[in-house]
Amino acid sequence: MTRIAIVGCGAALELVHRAAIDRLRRSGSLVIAAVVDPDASMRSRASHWFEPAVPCRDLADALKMDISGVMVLSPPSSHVEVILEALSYGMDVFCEKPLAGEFAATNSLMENPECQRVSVGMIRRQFDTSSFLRSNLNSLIDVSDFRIQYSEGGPYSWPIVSELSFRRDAGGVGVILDTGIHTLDLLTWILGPADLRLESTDETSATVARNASLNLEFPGGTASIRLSWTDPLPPGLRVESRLGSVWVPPGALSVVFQRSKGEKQWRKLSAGDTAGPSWLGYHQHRCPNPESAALLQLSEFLGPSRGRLASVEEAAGVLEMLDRGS
Amino acid sequence: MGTTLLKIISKVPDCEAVAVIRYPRSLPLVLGLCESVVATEGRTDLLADAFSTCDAVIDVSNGPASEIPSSALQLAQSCQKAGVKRLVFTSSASAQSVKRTPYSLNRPPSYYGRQKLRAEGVLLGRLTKTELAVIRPGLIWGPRSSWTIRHVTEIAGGAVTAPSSDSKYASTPNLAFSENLAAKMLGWALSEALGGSYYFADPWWSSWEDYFLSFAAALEMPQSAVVVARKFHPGPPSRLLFEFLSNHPEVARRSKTVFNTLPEPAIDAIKAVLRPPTPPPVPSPQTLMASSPSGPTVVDTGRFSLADIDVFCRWAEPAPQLGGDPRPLQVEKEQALQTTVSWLSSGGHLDYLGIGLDRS
Repeated sequence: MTRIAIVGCGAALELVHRAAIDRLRRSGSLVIAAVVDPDASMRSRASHWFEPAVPCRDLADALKMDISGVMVLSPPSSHVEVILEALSYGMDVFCEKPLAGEFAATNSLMENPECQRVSVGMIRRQFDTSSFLRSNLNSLIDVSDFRIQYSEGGPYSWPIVSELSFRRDAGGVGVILDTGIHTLDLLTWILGPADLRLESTDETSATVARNASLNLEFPGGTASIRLSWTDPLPPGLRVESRLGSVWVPPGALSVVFQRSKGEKQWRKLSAGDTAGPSWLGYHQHRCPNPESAALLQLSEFLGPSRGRLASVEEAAGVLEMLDRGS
Repeated sequence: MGTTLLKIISKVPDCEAVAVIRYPRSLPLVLGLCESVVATEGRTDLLADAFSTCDAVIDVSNGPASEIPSSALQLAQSCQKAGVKRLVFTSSASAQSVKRTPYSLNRPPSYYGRQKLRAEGVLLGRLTKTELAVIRPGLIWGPRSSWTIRHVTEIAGGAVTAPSSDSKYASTPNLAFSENLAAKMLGWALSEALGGSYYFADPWWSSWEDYFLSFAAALEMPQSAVVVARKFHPGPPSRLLFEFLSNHPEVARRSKTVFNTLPEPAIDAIKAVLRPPTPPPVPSPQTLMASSPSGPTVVDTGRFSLADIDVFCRWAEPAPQLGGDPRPLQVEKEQALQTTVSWLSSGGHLDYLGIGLDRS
C-alpha cells in the first residue's frame, strides 16, 4: 500500500484523477495521506473525497507525514518549485503536464540528481492508439517521407474559476502548452526528435495564445499542427506517405484506420491489444476511455517501472523544442 | 454568434461593446475584441453593474436548455435595475407552436423550443421600462457554426437528412446566416424602433434541397453528392423514445432511476428491444461522384426519421427585416456561401472530410 500526498485540489484532480484514485484506494493499493491547497474550501472538499486525508495549507506540513510520493496537480507555474521541495524529502513525484511554464524553469530540476524520481503525466501516451502507432507506424507508412496533419480546436471548456489562466503575467500557459503539449509529446514519442517552427499565434504581451499553428520537422517528414481555443477544428491525426495513409479519428482511443496508396476505403485496425501494468491485478488492460487512461497512468506511477510516463528529460525536451522554435 | 456580433460592432463608429460572459472559460472567445465582464450565474448585481453603462443589451447567451427561463428572469431583473433602454433577446424558430399530429398539443415541438417560449414570456411579463425585441432565428449557419460543420459532413458522407423538393415534407428551410443576423440585431439595438417579435431567416432558399445543392456547388462538388429523400423512415422505437425523453427531461431522470434498479436480464431485454435496426443503405460518396448525374441523388427512403431533420420553416414567408431597420442584408447569398467555404477550408475541415483531396 502506497501513501501519497496530493498538491493542488482543483479541476485536474476532480475531473482527471479522482476516479482513478478512488479505484486504487478501493483496491487497497493507495492511501491519500494529505491534500494540499492554499484554498481552504478546495482542500477541505478533497479531504472529504479521500478520507482520512489530512488537509494541509503547505506542502511542508504534508512532507512531515508518513508518505512516499507526491502528486503535483497545481498550476504549471508552481510545478518545479513543488517538485524540488518533494525531492528534498526523498519523494517519488508524479507531475501533471506541462512540467513547467517555460523551458528555463526546468534547469534547476534537470541539475537535481534525484530528478529521475519524477514522472510527468502525458495521459494520451496511455491511449491504445498511441502505443499502437509507436510500435507499428514503421510498417504502415514510409517513415522516410511522410506528412502529418493534426488539428484540435473548439471553445475552451476547462472549468477555471478566474481569468488568470489567460494572462501571461499570472502564469497562464496558452493553447500550445496546455493542449498542444500532448501532440508535441506524442509525435516526438512516436517519431523521435524534431525541430519546431512556430508559424502563427495570437499571443499578445498581456494574453496567452488562444490560436496557434506549428510545424515540426522530423528527419523523415513534417507535421503541421493547428490548435484553437476559439474555433471548431476537425480533430484527428492523419499521416500521409508514399506507401499509404494512417488516420486516427477524433475520440478513437482503440481504433486506427489505414489505407494503401491509391485505395479509397479506409481499413480499420484494432489498436486495443496493448497490455497495461498487471502488478496491481488490474484486469482492464485496454484503454477504451480517458478514465482508463488516468488509471493506467497512476498505476504506472505506483508500479515498479516508469512504463509510458514521461521522464523529466523527455518533458523538458519538448519545452526546449518549443523554446527554440518560438 | 457573440464573436461575430463583437467583430461587427468593432467596425461601427462611436459604438463600443462590453462582452458579458457567464463563465471565465468563455474568455478566449472575447479576449482582444472588447472589454469583458464575468457575471457568474446567479449574480444579478454583477449583470446589472455590467449593463449600467450600456444603451442596449443583445442577449446571445447559450447554455443548458433547463436554465433558459431562469437566465431570462435574471436578464430581465438586471435590465430593469440598470435602466437598459433596449434589449434584443435571441429566441429560436423552434419556439413557434405547431401541432405535429392531429392528436398532439399545439405547442413548440421540442423542449428547447418550449424553454425559449417560456423565456420570452418571462421577459415580456417583467420588462416595463426596456424596449424588447424577440428574435426567432432559424438554424444559425456560417463560419464557426456547428450546424455548418454538420451540413458539410452530411454532403461529404452522402447522408440523407433532408427531404427532396418533390417530397410531401418539402418546406422552406429557416436558416439564418450568422453575419446577417448579427447585423440586423445590432441595427435594431441602435435604432429607435418599437419592440416586437420577429422571425429571421435567409430569403434565398426555396427548399432544403436548394440549400444543400447551393452549398455543394460552393464546395465545387457535383450535385449528385447531395442525397435527399422522398420519404423518411418512421423511426425505430429507440429513436422515438429518445426524442420523447430528450423533450421531457424530468421523465428521463425518473426513468433512469427506475431503469438502474432493474435486474440485469431485464435491462438487457429492454436494450435489445430498443436497439436501432440497420438503416437502409445509401450510395457511398465515391459512387455518387463517379456516377455524376446532373441533379441530386434522390432515394426513396431516408436513413433517418423526420425527427432528425433540422427545424422546418412553418411560417409562410421568411421575414429577414426587423422593425425599424430597413437596411438590406449585410451579406448576399454567394458571399455568404463563399465566406463559409473559405472558413471551412482554412480550418482544415474540407481536407479532413476528403473534399479538398478529391477536388484536387
